[in-house]
Amino acid sequence: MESAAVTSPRPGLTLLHDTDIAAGHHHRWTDTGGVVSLLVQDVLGESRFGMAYCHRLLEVLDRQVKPNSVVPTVSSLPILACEASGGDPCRAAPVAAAWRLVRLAAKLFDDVEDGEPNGQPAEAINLATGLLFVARLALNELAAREIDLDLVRCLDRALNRAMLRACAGQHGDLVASQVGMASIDPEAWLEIALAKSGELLAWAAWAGALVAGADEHILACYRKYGSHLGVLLQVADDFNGVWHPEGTSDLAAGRPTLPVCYGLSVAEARERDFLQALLEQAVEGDDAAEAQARQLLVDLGAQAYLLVVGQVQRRQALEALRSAGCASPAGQQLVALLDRVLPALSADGTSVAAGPVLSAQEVSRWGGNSERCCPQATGGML
Amino acid sequence: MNVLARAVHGLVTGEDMDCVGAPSNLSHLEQEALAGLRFLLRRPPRDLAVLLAQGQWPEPWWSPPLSLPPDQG
Repeated sequence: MESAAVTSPRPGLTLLHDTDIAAGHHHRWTDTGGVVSLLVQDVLGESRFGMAYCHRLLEVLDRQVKPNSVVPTVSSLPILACEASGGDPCRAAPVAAAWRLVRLAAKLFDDVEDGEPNGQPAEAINLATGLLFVARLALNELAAREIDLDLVRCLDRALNRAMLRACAGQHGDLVASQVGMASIDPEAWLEIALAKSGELLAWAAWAGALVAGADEHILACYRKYGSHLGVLLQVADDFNGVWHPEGTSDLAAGRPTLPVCYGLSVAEARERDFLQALLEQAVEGDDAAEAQARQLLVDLGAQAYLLVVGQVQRRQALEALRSAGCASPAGQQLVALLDRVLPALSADGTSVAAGPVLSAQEVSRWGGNSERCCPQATGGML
Repeated sequence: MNVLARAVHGLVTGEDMDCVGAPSNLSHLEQEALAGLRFLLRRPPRDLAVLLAQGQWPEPWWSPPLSLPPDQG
């Protein structure tokens, strides 16, 4: 068969004709970037405006830093879940492509909502919207060639439901920012986190297992794993946003983070009024008030609360994996992915059956005895 | 008030440091996590940021970071 490669609209991207796929070059499907490029050009390549938009979409996609393949990342969630469920990871490539597009779109939308667009907000919104449609194309047009149509419909329907719930979660977040953080307590924060990130990660893990042909029980386990991973990521994100911000902190931005929701919910009336006043001053640019609010949150136990909530989420995710019975290297990668979020929660970087709050290494560093701290930590989980 | 939040607050402020048991309406996992926290808080320093900051998630979870376009790089 003659070469099916066509010239990319930009240098460096090689696109493939359908004939490549028809010829059974399924290994190429693991190249999600190439698959997406093909889809976008197929739809937009015939008009001048279409080509301009195509260039911008591909440019945004190409600017995504490629993950290190050695280290498990959220990007690889569908592939890992598929492989851990006993499936051929190539079958999850269309899901992985859609997942990548959805996450990139979410980032663009999020940057606009946070007032930090990389470029013009209107263009970012239009690009993000386009990416969501390409994600659906990736599922409907690409998956249909590899997987039976009912399964594709199921994937698409579940993705739409997850995205809608994520939008609702984001709405809750935005409303809380506008009406005041005192309006949400830690339970409400958890509901929002579950909706805005838990639902999407649950879909990604579930979808990977689905294309592997997993049964209902296994699917439920992966959904649960993804959901708890998503909430754990939000916990870590809020910790970083308050105590290790890059740029404007979440306190200065007035975002309803878990530390703040916790602090306002546990403080006594006078202390709560004081914290509220500090937070308002922080939003107005008062650095001293921001530092004072940060310390008050520490004194109230906000860091401890994040540690406990994170540990509970991590343990629930680990239990889901254990219930799924995945003992494969891909399953271990899913554990490693979990432990990368907040390494302090895991036992010296390895998976444990009942993870302690402190690792043996940490206990030693803090002058304790690991046996006393984590009596359940008896070895590898999987 | 959230029971878990109240329990953590009690532990951190010292109001509940001597309490051996955790509230019974907490889940098994929550009680275990509280037990770990209780152990941790008995050992100085109590600034958990030192612990939490170790090996932080290196990238925004929702998307790998975007590299700067060529004209800004």
